[in-house]
Amino acid sequence: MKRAMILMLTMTMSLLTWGCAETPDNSASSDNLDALYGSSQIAVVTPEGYNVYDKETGEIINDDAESEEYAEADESISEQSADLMGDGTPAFARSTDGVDVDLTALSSTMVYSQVYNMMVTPENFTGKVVKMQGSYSCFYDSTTGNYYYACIIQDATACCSQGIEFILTDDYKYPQDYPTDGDIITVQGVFDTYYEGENMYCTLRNAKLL
Amino acid sequence: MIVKLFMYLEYPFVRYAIIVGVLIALCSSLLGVTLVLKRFSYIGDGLSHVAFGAMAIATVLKLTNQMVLILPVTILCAVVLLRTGQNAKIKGDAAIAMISVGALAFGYMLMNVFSTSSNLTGDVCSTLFGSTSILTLTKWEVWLCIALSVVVVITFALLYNKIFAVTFDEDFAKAVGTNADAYNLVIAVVIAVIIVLAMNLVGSLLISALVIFPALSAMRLFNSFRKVTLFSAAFSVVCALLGLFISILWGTPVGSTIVTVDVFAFFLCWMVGACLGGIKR
Repeated sequence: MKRAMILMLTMTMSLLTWGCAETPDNSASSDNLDALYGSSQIAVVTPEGYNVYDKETGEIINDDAESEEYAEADESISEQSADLMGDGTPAFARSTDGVDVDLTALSSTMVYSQVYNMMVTPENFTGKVVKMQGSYSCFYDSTTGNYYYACIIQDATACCSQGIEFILTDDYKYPQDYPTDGDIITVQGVFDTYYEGENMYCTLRNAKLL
Repeated sequence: MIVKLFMYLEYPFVRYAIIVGVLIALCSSLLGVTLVLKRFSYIGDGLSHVAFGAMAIATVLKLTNQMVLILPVTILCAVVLLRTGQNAKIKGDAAIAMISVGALAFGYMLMNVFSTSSNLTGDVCSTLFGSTSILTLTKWEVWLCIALSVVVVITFALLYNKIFAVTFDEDFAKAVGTNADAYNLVIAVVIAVIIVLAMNLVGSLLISALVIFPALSAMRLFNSFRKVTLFSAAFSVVCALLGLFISILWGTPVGSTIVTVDVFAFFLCWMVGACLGGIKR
């Protein structure tokens, strides 16, 4: 009996060693981005390139395409990103359709868990292009005076919901180009975080409806 | 489907779920044999409701680490329930029922009155049925589960003979000088630890399935305590893995999928046992 238990324990420890092995960090860590752009700004990858945001106001500050500073930074990012993961794979390398995290390819149980994971460890997903499908929800916050748009997904028992806010590009005009509350939508954008007051929120920037 | 499964295995939270699921299934099946034979099958349900009540108190108190409260409270109730013995004024099943429903009602009332979440129903439902709890574990929680599971398995391995003696004939064990009360205490503590861990896998309401079905399935096929224990451990691990894979592939709730697989496997064992007349020792 003791031999059987020891064998079971050995097999279990082997399983644990495999399971807890670190996977390469595929994210462009904010440390790398901070080093390149300074701690008050954050660079966010978009399908068209990079946008640099002011962390406090959330405004885009790299409108000036001719700015030497950003040209140098862009070049520097290309060089730096070549080996951010240490194995030669560029940090912002994407799948052929340009999506880093495709939630539409996962089962509902996996989607809920992955979104939960993204909310709990957003630093691992910042800068990644995320595609997700869920029901559209719009919320107006009278304290901030802002509208917030989100894509909501439910877990398998449909009693719990998770969602990610998204900010559509300027090509979309409210309300004619926006969906109706409850519509099933597929949205793709760049995962990012921002602060309102003391609270940090997650969002998909430069999002588009597919 | 295999390709999809291997793709899912690349996610860290899926690997954590597999590790913790395997360990919990293994530990619950080991003690399940003892509980079934001592006619304490429903203690899992009772203690899980106590753990739910403790979790509610911890949530209201906004404790960062809820295990600090849940584990000691559950252990205390396990000791009270399993050590009261023959001379207790409120016996076995009545005591379990009383503590179980009382803790569940008290916990739910606390969470309603002192609500700290905007989705109370969802939080309660997720805790009771374990729809995705196992897939949202942090690395620290995984290591805690690993440590507690190793302790449980080592305890069972080292005290196997004594647990066997206390399970089958406690009076005889006492008569030959075995400290049966102490071993009952150890069993109670270990059961409480397993119940608290298992809440993550199948939720509070379905924990009894993890304890009962592997033992009963093994008893359909084998007669000796050793073979029943080993088979129930293997049975529980296989069913937990199968249930986990089915739930992540087809998007079903994790807890109820594992229990459904347990039920089907039990009927399979029953039919095999009936056809073959059991595998004699």
